[in-house]
Amino acid sequence: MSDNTAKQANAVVQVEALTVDFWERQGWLNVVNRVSFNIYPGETLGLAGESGCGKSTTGYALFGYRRPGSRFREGAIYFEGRDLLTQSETELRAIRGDQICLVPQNPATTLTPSMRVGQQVVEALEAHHICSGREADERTIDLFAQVGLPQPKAIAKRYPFQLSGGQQQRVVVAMALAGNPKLVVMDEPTTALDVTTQARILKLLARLQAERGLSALYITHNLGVMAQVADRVAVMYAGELVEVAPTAEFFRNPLHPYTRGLIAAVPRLSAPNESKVKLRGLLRREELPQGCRFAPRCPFAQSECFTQPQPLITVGQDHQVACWLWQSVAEKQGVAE
Amino acid sequence: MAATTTTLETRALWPQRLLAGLRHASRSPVFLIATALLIVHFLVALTGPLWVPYEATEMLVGKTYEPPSARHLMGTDNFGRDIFSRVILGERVVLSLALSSAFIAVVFGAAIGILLAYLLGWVDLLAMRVIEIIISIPPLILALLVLGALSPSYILIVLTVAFFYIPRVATVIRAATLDVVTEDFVTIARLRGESAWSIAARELLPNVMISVFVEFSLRTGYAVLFIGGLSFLGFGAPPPSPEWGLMINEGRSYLSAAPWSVLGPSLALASLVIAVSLFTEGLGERLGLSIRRERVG
Amino acid sequence: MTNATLLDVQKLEITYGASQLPRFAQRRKPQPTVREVSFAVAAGETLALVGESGSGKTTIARAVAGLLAPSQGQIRFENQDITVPIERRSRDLHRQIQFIFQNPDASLNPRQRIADIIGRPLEFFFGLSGSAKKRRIEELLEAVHLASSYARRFPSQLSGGERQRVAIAQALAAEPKLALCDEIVSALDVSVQATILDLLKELQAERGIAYLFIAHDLAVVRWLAHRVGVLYRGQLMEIGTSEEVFSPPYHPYTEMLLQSVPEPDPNLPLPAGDERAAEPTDAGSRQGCPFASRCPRKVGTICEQERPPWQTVGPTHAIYCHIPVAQLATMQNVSP
Repeated sequence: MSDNTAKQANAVVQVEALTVDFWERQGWLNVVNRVSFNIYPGETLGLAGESGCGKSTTGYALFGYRRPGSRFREGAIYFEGRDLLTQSETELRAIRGDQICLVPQNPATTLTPSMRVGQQVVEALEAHHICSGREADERTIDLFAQVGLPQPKAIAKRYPFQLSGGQQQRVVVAMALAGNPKLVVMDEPTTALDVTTQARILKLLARLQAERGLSALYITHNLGVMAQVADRVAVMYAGELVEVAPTAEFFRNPLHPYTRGLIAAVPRLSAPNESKVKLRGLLRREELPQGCRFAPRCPFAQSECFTQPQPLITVGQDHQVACWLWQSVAEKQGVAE
Repeated sequence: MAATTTTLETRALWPQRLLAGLRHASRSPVFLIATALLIVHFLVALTGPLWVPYEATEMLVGKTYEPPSARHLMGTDNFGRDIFSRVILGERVVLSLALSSAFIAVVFGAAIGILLAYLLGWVDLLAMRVIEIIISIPPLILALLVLGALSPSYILIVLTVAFFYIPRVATVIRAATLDVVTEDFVTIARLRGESAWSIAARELLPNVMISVFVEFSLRTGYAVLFIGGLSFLGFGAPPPSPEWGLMINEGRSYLSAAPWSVLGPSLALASLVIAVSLFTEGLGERLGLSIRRERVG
Repeated sequence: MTNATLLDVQKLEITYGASQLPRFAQRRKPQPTVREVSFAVAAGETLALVGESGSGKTTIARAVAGLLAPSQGQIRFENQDITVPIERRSRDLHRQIQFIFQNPDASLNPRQRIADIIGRPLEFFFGLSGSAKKRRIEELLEAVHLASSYARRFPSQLSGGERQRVAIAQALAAEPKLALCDEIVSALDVSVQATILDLLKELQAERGIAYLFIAHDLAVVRWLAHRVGVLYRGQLMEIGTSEEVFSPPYHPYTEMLLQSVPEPDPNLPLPAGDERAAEPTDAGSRQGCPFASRCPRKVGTICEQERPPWQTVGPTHAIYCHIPVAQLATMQNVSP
C-alpha cells in the first residue's frame, strides 16, 4: 500500500472520480462516471473504448476543455499539486499548450488553412512566451526537423493544404511539443491517416516520447494501435472505467466481459478465421441500469449486476477490473456465449 | 453512483421540428409579442367586415376632415369616410394580396430552386444567369413598367409581385437544396433510376421544407411593404380600395388639414410589417440551426 | 468449382474531374485517376479492392455503378456491355447492381421512416404495395436482424450500426446479384463492424450475392474476401485469392501495407519501415511504376522509366512488378 501511495505521489496527473454530465434536451445525461486513474512520468496510458464511452470527454477534461452545456459534477484532476477543475481560465491558459498539450484527431481542421504552417508554430511559441521573433523561427525549423519533416525551411513556408495528411499531423505534433510539455493528450491522432502513414507517425511518437520522457494519454478505439503505443491500457464503457492493466497483461489476459468481447471482435491479419466471440446487443443510453452498465449485454450477468454498481477491483499486479464475477469469466476461456 | 439516464434528442419530421422551433422561440418575449400581434392582424382580416362601424366607401356628407372622436376613432378623410373602418377593412386586402403573392412566389420559386440544384450542369448555369438578370432589375422599375402599362387590378399586383420574388426564392431554396443534393441517399435514388421529379419531391423537398416555410414568411413581410409602396405611388391597388399604401398617398395631399388620415394606415402597416419580420426572425433563427449534436463522449 | 463471371472489368481508365464542367471550362488536362485496371467478380463471391487514399478504389466502384464515365476500357455485367452512365442503363440493371455507402448518417433520408426507405425499391422495382409490401419489409428487417418495430422509426432514432443495416436492407430489397460496398464498415465501431461483417457473410451464403468490397482495412478484407486486388494510385499492383495475396511472394507495396498494420498483440513488433515522412509524390507520372518513388525494393531507374510487366505467380495470382517473382519470394521469405 505504501508503495502505491509513494507511486501516486510521483504521478504526473491524478484523475479522481471525474464525473461529467452533458445537457441534452430533456435533462442531464451522464457521460463520464467516477473515472479515476493516474499517469506516471514517461508512460503512455492508452484510453480505449467505442464511440459514446466518454474517452474523448475525459481526455479533453485533462486539457482543461469543457464543452458548452457540460457539467463537471464531481471529481478532481490533480496536476502539479493543483486541481485543474478549480483553476480559472487564465491559469488554465498558462498550462494549456505549454505543460499539457493536445494532438487532436484531424490535422486538417486543427491547422488554420489560411496561415503558413511555420507561422502557426511561431505563434504558438509566442503565445506561451517561450520565445519570439528570430529565435521562434529557428526553433520552429528545429521542431520540424525533429518530427521528421524533410526540408523544414521549405515546409514552414507552405500552407496546410499543400501538405499531405501525414505531414500536417507532424506539424500538429510539432506545435504540441513546442512548449516542452509534461503531458500530451492525443485524441485518435492517426485515425484520419492512411495505414502506412500511421505506422510512421506511431514510430515518430514513440521516438519523441523516449527522447523527452513525456507522459501521454493516448485515446483511440483501435486496439491494434493501442497494443503498439501504450504502456498501460484503460478501457471505458458508457462513461465508466471497466478495466485497467499493463498492455501485455491486458492482451494476454483480459478479464472484463466487455474487454474480452472487444478484443475478440477485432479482425486480425495473423489469425483470420478464428470464430468470434460476439458482443451482443447495443449500448442503449436510455436503458442503463443502476449497477453495472454493461449488464444488459453481458452473457454472465446476474441479478446483482444490474443493481450493484461495480467499482474497480485490483486483481494481481496492477490489473484492475470492474466486475465481481471476473474469476468465473476467466474460467470460461475464450467461449463467452 | 446513480446513472442519470435521459433520452437523446431525436430529429423528427418537419411539422414536429416546426413545433419544436416554435416552442423554443416562444421563450423569447419579443417573439411572443410579435406572434400575438400577428394573430390580432389575422383576426381583424377575418372578422373585420362583421363588426366594422362603417363601410369602406361610405361617404358621410358634411363630415369631412373630422378629427378622431368616439364615433370616428381615427377621424374621417376628405371624402367623409371613416378612417378606422377603412383601416380595418384594408387589413383583409393587404394580407390577402401579400399572402397570395408570397404563396405563388414560394411554390414556383421552390420548385425551380430544387430542380436547378438537382440538375446542375448547363441548365443550371443558364437559368441562374437569367435569374440574376431578373434580380438585378430595380424592383420599382419592373413593377411600374408592368402595372403602368396595364390597367391595375388585384390579380395583376399579385402576379407581378410573385414574378418578382420567384427568382429570389429560387436562389435561396436552390442554395438550401445544394446541401442535400450531395448526400448519399440522393445518389441512391439516382442509382435506382428515379426521375428528377420523383427525386425532387421525395428526397429533396422534405429536407428543405423548413427553408421553404421561412421564405414564405419572409416574402409575406416584404410583399406587404412592396405592395404598400406600389399603391402609394399609385401603381398598385386601384381606388377606392382601402389598401393602406393607397390611403397614405391619398391622405398626403391634405396632410396639414387632417394628419390622422395618414397616421392610421401608417401605424397599421408598420405594426404588420414589424410583426411579420420579428416572427420570421424568431422562427428562422431556431430552425436555421443545423441540429447536429455531437455524439456524446 | 468456379462460378460464372458476373462482373468483368477490362483495362479501365478513369480521369477524374472531366465529367462536371464542359470541356472548354477545364484548365489543364487532368491525370488519370485509374489506370488500366482489370478484374472479374464471379457470382456469389467477394472481391475486395484495397488501397490507401488516392488509390482509386472508390472511383472504380462509382464507375461500375455508372456514376462516372471511364475514359477507356469496358465494364461487362453478365456478358453485356454496361459501360454507360446510369441514365442510359436499363431498370433491370439498376436493380441488379446495388450500391452501399460508407456513411450511415448520409445513406438514409432523415425525413423518411425506415419502412418507406426499404419500401421504395419494392415499389419501384416490383410494383409491390399494401400488405404484400409490408410483409416483405418485415422479412427484410428480419434478414438484417432488426426488430419489426424499427419500421416505424426515423433514421435519427437508430444507431450507426443499425442505420447501416437498414442501408443493407434497402439494397437487398432490390434482390441484386452484385452489391458494391464502399468502405461500409469503416465508420463503425469495432464491435458493430464485426456484426455487420457477419451479416454480409450470412447474406452471401443465403442469397448468393456477389460483393465488390472496397476497403482500406486489410484484416477485414482477409476475413471477408475470397479474392483481393491491391491498388496504389490508380494502378492495380497485385491480384489473387485472399490466401495468395496475404502470403509471400508479395508485391512490395502489399508487403509495405501488411507490415504497417498494427495488430492487437503487443508481442508482435512495431511496424517496420522508415519513420521519416515520405516525400510528397508527384501526381502519378505516366511512365514507370507509380510506386517507384516509395518502393523499398526499387531495382533501379527501370522502375521509373518502364511500366512493369504483369507476372503470373499462379493461375489466379498476378503481381505487377519488375522484380522477378522468384526473387521476391526469396527476399520476402527471409525477412520476419
